Amino acid sequence: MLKRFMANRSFVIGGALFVLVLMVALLADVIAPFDPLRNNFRYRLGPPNAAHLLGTDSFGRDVFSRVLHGSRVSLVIGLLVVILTGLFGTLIGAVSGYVRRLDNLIMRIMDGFMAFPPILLAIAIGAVLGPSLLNAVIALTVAYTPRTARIVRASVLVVRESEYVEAARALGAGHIRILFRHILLNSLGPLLVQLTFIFALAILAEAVLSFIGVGPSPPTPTFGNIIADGRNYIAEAPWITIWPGIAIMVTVLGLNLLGDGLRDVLDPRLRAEAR
Amino acid sequence: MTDLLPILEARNLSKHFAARPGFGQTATVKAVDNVSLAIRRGETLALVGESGCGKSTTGRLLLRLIEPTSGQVLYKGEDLSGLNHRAMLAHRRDLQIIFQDPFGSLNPRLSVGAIIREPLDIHGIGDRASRRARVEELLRLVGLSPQQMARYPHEFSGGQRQRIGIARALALEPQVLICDEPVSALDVSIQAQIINLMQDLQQRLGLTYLFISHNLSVVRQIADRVAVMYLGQIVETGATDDLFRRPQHPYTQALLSALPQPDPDRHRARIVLKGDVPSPFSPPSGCRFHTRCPVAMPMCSQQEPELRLVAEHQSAACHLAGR
Repeated sequence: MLKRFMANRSFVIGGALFVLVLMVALLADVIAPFDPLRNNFRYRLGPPNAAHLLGTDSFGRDVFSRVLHGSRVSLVIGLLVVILTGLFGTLIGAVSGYVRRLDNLIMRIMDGFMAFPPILLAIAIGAVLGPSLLNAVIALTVAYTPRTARIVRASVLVVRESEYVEAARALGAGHIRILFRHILLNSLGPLLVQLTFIFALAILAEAVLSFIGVGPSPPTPTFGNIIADGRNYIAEAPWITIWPGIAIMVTVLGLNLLGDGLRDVLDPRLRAEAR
Repeated sequence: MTDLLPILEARNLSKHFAARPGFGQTATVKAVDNVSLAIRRGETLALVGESGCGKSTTGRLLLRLIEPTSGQVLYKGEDLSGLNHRAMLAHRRDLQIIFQDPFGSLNPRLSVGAIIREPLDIHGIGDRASRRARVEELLRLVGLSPQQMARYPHEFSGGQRQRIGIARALALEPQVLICDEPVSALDVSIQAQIINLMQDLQQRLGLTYLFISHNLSVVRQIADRVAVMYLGQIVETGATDDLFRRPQHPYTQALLSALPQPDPDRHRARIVLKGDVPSPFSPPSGCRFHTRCPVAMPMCSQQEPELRLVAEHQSAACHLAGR
């Protein structure tokens, strides 16, 4: 199994990029040369130099330090969204796929949510709740849960018809045991793949929310906030917006490659061929 | 050896599925139509017929894995039809099933030990140590090594996996095993091993088998009695030897004529049936077999023949049988 993962190029490259971003976020305090919130009005909009590797913004804050700390906030939001979406999506999807009487009702409600582009839905919810980290997480969770629920429901529908589920019923297993031990245990592959993509989408969406001011409020550094700060100075000081943009790109690229790799390795059709 | 009182009995069992053959249309498939069966303690009753004739559905109805549209299932005289989950649980210990597909019937994410231990967990039998001992005993019983307990299903061959499935079914010390084509997914050489294992287990544990199969050679070897199904109905039943020597229903005769003959000098006229199995959405009127029957008479398309005794211990649903 491990060998198959290691032989997959997207998985290895994506994993490496993601681990890099993760390390940067974890070690932000150690690596960052300056306090990300400290103003320095003597060196405003300063171009990159030896002290300020990526230059400074309109308040003279070190962009490098802000990007490092921003990755931390962005990753925390992404991770929380992934955990909550995974939790609610699995719950809703499992109930919908397993309890057929509720299926139509639940899925039509999910369709209702999915009728909105998720980013617009998140913006609307974020705008109603007000700018804060927690509210951004709530908004993004609501926006992405229906997708996860749909994926989980689809795999539950497939797995519930398998003979090992029938065998468990013949043995007298209860619904909880069948659902968790037999059905969900075998539905994890597609869910895991989906969650890596949602992680990437959540980081992108967080940037959008912060950019238009419904994310965590400034001066908290997040990828979106840093870009928003720099947008008025994009001609004189492009480094303020370029570097957090590249940071987003690297993170999202890493996660997408990781998800692609996971999907290729876990895809049951490919596995059937290998057998 | 066999007790005359049936241990498991189906009475007028029917299962209709609603289906949509085309846009806006609804139709019912009579997958199992008015089937009555009696399995006696200690015997092997084979249920044979071609694909899609309702054999497997009958097996699942007997275990209440699917609910019948009408009819009853009696275990030791008690009607299982109305029982709730809790009341059914006690009977699940006695009635177990072996599946056709050795790859699909084992949860790929559980170790073999966990798979075989699951019935003991569900029914709360014994403590940790005794369950483990029981799993080891079961693995030995089906010819596997207890050391293989921690492995996962994909590490085993088809025959070994079928043994694992049998061990799981035997964990609760059942009385009746429904064997749904247990060897048809296996290589011929492995088939013989599994059949031998099943016969050996039947003798040692006093098991009763309902053996669902389309393989007549295997049926002839293992079954005491045979029931032949066609389009959801039983067309003939009888003791294996009688039925193979003197098939009464034209469908049974056609099936048996397709069996390969071990003696090259003996030639038997092969009865080749015309056409395909009719659509189960609209089964033929009268006798369901009349569209393909080589000896059909005008009355066959109007009047449905009943299953009636045509010889000692042998019944057939044909207007011509025994006349």
